[in-house]
Amino acid sequence: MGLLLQTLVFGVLLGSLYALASSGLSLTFGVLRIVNLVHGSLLITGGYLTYTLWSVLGGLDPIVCILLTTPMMGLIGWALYTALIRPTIAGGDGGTMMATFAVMIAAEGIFALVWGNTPLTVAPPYARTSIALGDLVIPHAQLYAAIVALVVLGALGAVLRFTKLGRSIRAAASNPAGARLVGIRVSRVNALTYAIGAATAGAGGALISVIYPLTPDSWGAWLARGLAIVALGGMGSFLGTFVAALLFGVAETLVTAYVSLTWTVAVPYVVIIAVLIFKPRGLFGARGRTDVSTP
Amino acid sequence: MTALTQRRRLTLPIMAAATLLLALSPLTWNNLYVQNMIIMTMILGVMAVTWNVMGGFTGYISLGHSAFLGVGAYTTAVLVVQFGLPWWVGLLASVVSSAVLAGIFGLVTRRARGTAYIMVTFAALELLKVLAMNLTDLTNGNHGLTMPFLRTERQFQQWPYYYGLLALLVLTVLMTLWIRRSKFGAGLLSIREDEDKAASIGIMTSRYKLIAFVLSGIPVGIAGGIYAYYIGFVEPRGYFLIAVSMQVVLAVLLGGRGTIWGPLLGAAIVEPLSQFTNAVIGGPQGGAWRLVLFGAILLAVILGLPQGIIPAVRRLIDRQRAKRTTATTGERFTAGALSTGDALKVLETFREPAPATELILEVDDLRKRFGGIAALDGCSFQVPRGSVTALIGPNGSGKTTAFNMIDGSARLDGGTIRYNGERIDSLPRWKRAHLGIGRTFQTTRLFPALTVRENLVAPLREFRWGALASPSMSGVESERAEAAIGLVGLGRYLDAEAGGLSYGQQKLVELAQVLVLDPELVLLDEPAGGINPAIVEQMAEIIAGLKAAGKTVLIVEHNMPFVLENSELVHVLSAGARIASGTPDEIRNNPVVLEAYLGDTPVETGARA
Amino acid sequence: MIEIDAVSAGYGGGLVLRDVSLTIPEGETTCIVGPNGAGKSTMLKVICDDLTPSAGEVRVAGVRVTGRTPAGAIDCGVVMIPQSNALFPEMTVRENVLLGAHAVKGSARVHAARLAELEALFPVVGERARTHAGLLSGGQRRMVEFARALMSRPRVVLLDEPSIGLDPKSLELLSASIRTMAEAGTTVVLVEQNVRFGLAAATTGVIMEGGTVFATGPAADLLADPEMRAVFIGGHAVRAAS
Repeated sequence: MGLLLQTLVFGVLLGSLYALASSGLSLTFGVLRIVNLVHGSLLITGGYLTYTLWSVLGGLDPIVCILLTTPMMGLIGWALYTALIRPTIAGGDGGTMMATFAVMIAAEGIFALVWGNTPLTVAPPYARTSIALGDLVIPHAQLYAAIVALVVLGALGAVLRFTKLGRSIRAAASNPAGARLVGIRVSRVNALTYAIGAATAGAGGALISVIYPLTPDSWGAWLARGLAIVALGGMGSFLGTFVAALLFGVAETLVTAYVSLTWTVAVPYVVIIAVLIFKPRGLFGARGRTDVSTP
Repeated sequence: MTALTQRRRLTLPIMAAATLLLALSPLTWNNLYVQNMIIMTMILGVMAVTWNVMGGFTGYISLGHSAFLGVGAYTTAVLVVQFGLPWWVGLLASVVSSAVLAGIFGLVTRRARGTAYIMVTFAALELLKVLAMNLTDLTNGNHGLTMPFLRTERQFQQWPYYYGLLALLVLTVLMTLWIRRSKFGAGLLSIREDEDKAASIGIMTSRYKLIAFVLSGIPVGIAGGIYAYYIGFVEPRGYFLIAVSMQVVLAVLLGGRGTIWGPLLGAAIVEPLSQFTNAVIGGPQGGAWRLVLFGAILLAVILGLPQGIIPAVRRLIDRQRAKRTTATTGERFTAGALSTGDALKVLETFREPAPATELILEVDDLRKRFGGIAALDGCSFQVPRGSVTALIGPNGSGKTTAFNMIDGSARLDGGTIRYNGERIDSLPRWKRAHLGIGRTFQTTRLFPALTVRENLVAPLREFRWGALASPSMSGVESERAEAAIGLVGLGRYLDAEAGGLSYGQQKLVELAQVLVLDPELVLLDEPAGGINPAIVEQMAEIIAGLKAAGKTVLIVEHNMPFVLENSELVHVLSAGARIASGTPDEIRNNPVVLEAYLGDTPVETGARA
Repeated sequence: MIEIDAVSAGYGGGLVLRDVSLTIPEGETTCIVGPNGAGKSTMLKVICDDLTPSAGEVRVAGVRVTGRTPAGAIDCGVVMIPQSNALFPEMTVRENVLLGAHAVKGSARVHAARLAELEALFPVVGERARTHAGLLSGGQRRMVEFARALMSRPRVVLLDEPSIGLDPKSLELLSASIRTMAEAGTTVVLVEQNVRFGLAAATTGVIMEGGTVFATGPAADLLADPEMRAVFIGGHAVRAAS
């Protein structure tokens, strides 16, 4: 019983972080209809940037680093989108996906060249401490990461819900032609959306860097988790992604606790395959096809 | 079209010469480094050529193609190392295992198209890697399996792999050549261009994809088995490699996706380049630089040369040639076109005699809602056998929606459809085509990137292996295509790209395409819409010919004079239900109809005239 | 007033409009009718610059709209309501309507005041404010589209087949709304298949055929003209009726 409770708590904490890590992927898919294979690499970039800031600025707290990594990643995302992804849109979904695939491969090389192949971790003072609540152990790092993730997600949600930019993003996602007719400059909104997606990876990467070691090829695991969560949550549904991330976090910790760590890595792939074959709309993507025209 | 046949005549001699050259090269110049490079290129070649069958012909892009290599290698390695079986059993088993994996990929495409399919292939590759790592009893996990050493003299040690792979590559290329030039290949290309339309001309899309995927998975599985022996060692990270998948994709895109030779050309560029960079940028950073380099090249190809080398070169040549020859446009009809009756005789297939019901089609109480709007609201009508019946009504009255229900391109919310007295409303689309329902579309839906001939060879009346294998350029299938195109008088455009024809010509070709199915009931959605008067007249003649040959025609049309002249029974729809039926004369003078067309207030009769 | 000056336009090479010139009077309701493929909807797209013509230009009150994109057209006071699918189905009715003011400047308070005016005009906007637009019926959607278009206080409203798919009750609401707009001094241009409905709602009528203007005149006169029927039902109908 103790183990189960511990596992569930761990899963939820992890899930909150996963929710932040996959929110950008969900955004780019939901609004731009792009499966952004670079997303895992963007997260790792955010992590590496945090590492550099932390080591150069004398142990600057990674959570404070978020204030810097987020705008940096936003800029990178904007540049990436306008220079490399937007020109391929005309070539159909194969084209954009292939472009993100190419960037994803090249990014691994760049990581290795800039940051080397040795695993790097950001180690703030609280990296190895934890709170004990009776039998329950809650590591500070996980707890802080979860709290920060929820705060960032809340902010993102508020931007989407209440600001003019958020309304234009949702409008462009819902009906691009209609958005054009009310004077939304869809192409600019799309670039901003991609930039915001990348910015969330800046925050997510900063938190990841405390908990997981960074290696050039660690993007793969994060991309897989992200794709699995987005598929499970119903491809582009924001709330769905959040719930799916929590479920996914719990599923991973359950497998780790009761099966074995070596099988945990298989969880995302199994989820992707199963969901896309048996329930392509995901758990929460059941919104009707209300946008179909009559004539 | 002469360019096309010229190209075709050159293909086999060039291929034979290249094969011979490759076969003789080790005998005359036994250089191990060069042989290794050729071996690796041939492996990439096999993968690229087969990827092209899925990604190029059928339109299903895979990021997991190296999974077949891994599965083939592991099957052979496990059987040989762990169970001590001979090498040929291992290779045979690799055939089976890669076919099974391909079959699974094929089944996946029933639900997952486009991006979903790409994601599944990526996940499948990674999942297989995890399996290879974790099923340690079979695979020895991360420690890998060491293959037995084949005892040959050092001088000839690479020959078995070299010749084995050469044979495999030649067979694979011949297979894709055959696929590309067969009725089956025309079907695959149709799936790529427009999968739903492909189903509407009787193509059993799921089965086609399954066959294509299995055919393209097996050679890579065999290559995997050979590769395992060649490298001598099998381990998860070396075989289920996303970077290898990337090289495959890169090779195909670089050479030209969907072409026969593009993937080979691409492989012949990518693999040596990879080896070269290996040699030049060695050291601890070498791998990283290679990833950057290849990512950058792939990006450059996607952005700068999205069509690939071969199509780009071909376009250049065609442009040069077009400058020299005079344009052939302007002539619309070919002299000596077949009469409709004669052509239909050629197109006739054996069919069980239809039951002698008087009504060929009975539509009862059809209902369909889109969101808040009822497109069909209790719509019922009947079509007598052998008649030309028209369905008219203002925009949004549900005519096209009714067509979509009848041919199965959309599901109905309620009601029944009977064809020859049998319910068909839950049958899949291709099944309805096989039963004898053919349909054209309001805005034509030919496969624009295919030639007219391929468009006409693609339709499938019933599933037979022999039919799939028959070539599209000659023989029965080609005769049928020629008869169909003769029927609409466009014989000279048989080898032209369908997308390049005028709108009116496309309408006629789409009609011809449907007639290749030898349908009993032909549904025509606005056959006279948006085309010039000469073609409208021709359309009317063809419809009369179809009726004379005993076929039933159901027309949706806005051009009222056309409808009233060419049909004998008219149903009028308004707001998703039938409001009147009758002969053209009755309809012409029916005040209810005039009201539906002109508005909701009572009609003042045209007293002024 | 809208001046359409020698406009040719089409999609992917083919021309739908061929050298069309037309002046649409200010403050009136003009209805464009004609058979399928005559170029009516294309004309509206050109006016709001959702489609840039290959030749010619459109001026609204002397200002060139062509080449400015729909956002620029809204700036010039031109708003388009397309045939279908204009709304954002996953957003609430209120959000949909407020987005109508996306391209115009103004404080939140100004927009809120405008929203209140529109709620009075189109009750459904207030009653279903928190409903997702995708869940509304066809008639309700049309009202929300109207409200959204009017958010920016346009001088010109373009309507593409507003009557399509509407039941008789919604049709009545629709013509009332068109009247309301006209009374407020808005120039309304509508394209209609439902000829009687369209011409009855309009003061001026334009008949198009084959990408050109076939006839122009007071709507009531066109309605009674037998030639118009010839365009729609074909020569036979005229002969039969005479």
